[in-house]
Amino acid sequence: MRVLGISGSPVKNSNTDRLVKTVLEATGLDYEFIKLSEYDIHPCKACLGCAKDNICRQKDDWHIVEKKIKECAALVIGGYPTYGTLDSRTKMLTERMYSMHHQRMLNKGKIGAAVAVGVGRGIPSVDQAADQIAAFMQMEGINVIGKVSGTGNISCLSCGYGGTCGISGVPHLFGKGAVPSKDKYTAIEDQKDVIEKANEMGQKIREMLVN
Amino acid sequence: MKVIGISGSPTKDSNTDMLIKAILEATGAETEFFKLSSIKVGPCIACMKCVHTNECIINDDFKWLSKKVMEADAIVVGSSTFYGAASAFTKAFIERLYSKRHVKLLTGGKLAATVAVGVAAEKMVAEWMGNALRAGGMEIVGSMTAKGTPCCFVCGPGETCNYTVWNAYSKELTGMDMGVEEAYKEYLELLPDNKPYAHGSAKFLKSHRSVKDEPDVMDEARRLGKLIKEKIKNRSRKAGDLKCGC
Repeated sequence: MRVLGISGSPVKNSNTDRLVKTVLEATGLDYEFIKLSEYDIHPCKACLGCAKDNICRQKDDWHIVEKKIKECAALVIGGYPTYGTLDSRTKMLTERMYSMHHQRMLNKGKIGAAVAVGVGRGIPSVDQAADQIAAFMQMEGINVIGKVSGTGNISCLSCGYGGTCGISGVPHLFGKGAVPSKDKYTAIEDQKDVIEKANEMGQKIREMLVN
Repeated sequence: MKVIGISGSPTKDSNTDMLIKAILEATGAETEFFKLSSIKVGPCIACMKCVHTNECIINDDFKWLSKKVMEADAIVVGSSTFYGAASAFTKAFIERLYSKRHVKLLTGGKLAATVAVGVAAEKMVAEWMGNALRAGGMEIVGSMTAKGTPCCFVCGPGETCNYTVWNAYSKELTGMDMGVEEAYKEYLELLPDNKPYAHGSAKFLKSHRSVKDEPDVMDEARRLGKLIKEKIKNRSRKAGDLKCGC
């Protein structure tokens, strides 16, 4: 496996998952896609047990994910914003990857791509999540070839109360008096610019790895 | 009158913990302190099961912690800063509070204060926590920050490691002056041959930074605690007000 795609989204076959997969597919290389929500991973405990040998001392599924990260030449990380910043699962991944940072910077020189899907529609949080992933990668000495932000669906569209709830995000996003309806849903595949950008990123990864 | 403190810092007796506790003490209220790294509060799984009941279905310590939040007049949330953002412990807790938000905005009207400790980006973290809690309808009494002990001070080879936090946040790498060298001038001397991510060269003057040695920081914590005390006495909004602050 040369390219590893990691999604922090817990939603099954989510827009985030599919946007990460779009980048992976476009590489035309051997890739693997994993979802963090299917692994038992915890936040960093700041014990510094990893400082000497770059091995995290926590006993959970991190070691499965870590092995895959060590094997890959390019890493595509996808997350989504919650309350305006990167979701806690993807954040956990970055914190646990810190074990690979000390002294040896084990991911230095790898190729990285940042993917985020969020509310969009003029709300900046999705770009902030993508920036957060890219900034993390840069701190790890990873060569970030690009970042892509896609638009997803807010929970108020599907919760059942989106048309009547006093704090619904639906009128906030779609205008006064707006209520949930099918046409307000979006799929990443319908966002041409986003798919194009993801494809370009995948192709760039391929060019850099093949040449 | 109840005030609870929730720390997302995993370090034992950390600066974050000390500041939260100082705020709690100054409220003069009945207080409790919880450390997220000592209990289990995992990320939101976006299952939406909380929509009808405002109760999260995940069977972990959020079940009782959320009751503590609901019983409190004010909460003090603190986090360490990792990779320029709140710790994943803090982030997961705040995500889980979303269960209280749907339709009823059950945390509406509560008071809150935030604390962030870090090396460079702690102001952003304190502000972010404030915004997230405000989206839950809480009134933010204040947010405070402090500089902490970078892990590179205590990991062992921090004086010679190429990839220290001050190098990661250096102007050479980020293109911005984040003021780390200035903020740590009493703790750290960068030697002339230090080159970020290529050749680490520094001398430690002091290897621990404690808020207990910084009277201004401790005063600010006590001021926030007193402010919470005053606000609880005089507040006009009641818990349950359906008024989102986002």
